[in-house]
Amino acid sequence: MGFYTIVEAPGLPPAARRRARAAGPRAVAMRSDHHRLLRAAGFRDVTERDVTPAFAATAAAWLAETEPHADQLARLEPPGAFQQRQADRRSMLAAIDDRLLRRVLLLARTR
Amino acid sequence: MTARDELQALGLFQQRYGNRPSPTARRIEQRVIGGDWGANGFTTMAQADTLAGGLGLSAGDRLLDLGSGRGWPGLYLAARTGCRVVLADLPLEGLRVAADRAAAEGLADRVGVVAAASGLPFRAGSCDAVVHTDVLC
Repeated sequence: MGFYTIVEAPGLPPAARRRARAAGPRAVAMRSDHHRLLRAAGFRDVTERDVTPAFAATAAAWLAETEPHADQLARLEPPGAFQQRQADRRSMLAAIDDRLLRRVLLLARTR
Repeated sequence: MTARDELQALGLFQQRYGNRPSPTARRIEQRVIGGDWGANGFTTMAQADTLAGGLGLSAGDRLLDLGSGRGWPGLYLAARTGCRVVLADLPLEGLRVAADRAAAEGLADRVGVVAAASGLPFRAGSCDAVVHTDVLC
């Protein structure tokens, strides 16, 4: 099993945690952690690699590359959808820059 | 994932995958993640390669890609490593695009698709590896 996932940074105070959860994808708010879920499902040799710097670069690149074409891209989607995605991207990028969100690669084996 | 979650995800992505990415969107995707799969997440081509290496994927392995959208990264991993892949997602629209691309790239005999999230139709141990990218997040 291998997957990339976005998680909230560990040890955040309550206000920062709320902001991380608001800025990240919905499952950032999951109550259990991936390591525990993997072990409960019978996986072992769980390793985690932090890929947050690449996450920040990619999030920034999506914004930078789409903004010059905003009008054209917005016409391809329902009204407001593109603008909402850009707002979500800005919010997520700010949360990454403030070290509230991380992205990790998790690898685990069953045999 | 609850049935309500599934319906919400289905509604959101049906519409997105039903529209073919414009040439501009494809160019942007190339510049951001290095591919042209109609993806808009954070997994770059280099990170897909890292995933393949970390799992030790090779020819003959059977890979399950959960939340594969239009085929990223499962189709790429099949082409890159020679593995077989089953692409699983909820919207048929994305799976149709992926199946068409698999055929166009000569991968059809190594690629299957299944439109499901929970209740996947597989026996335990029938896959050598499972991947998903920014799905459980």
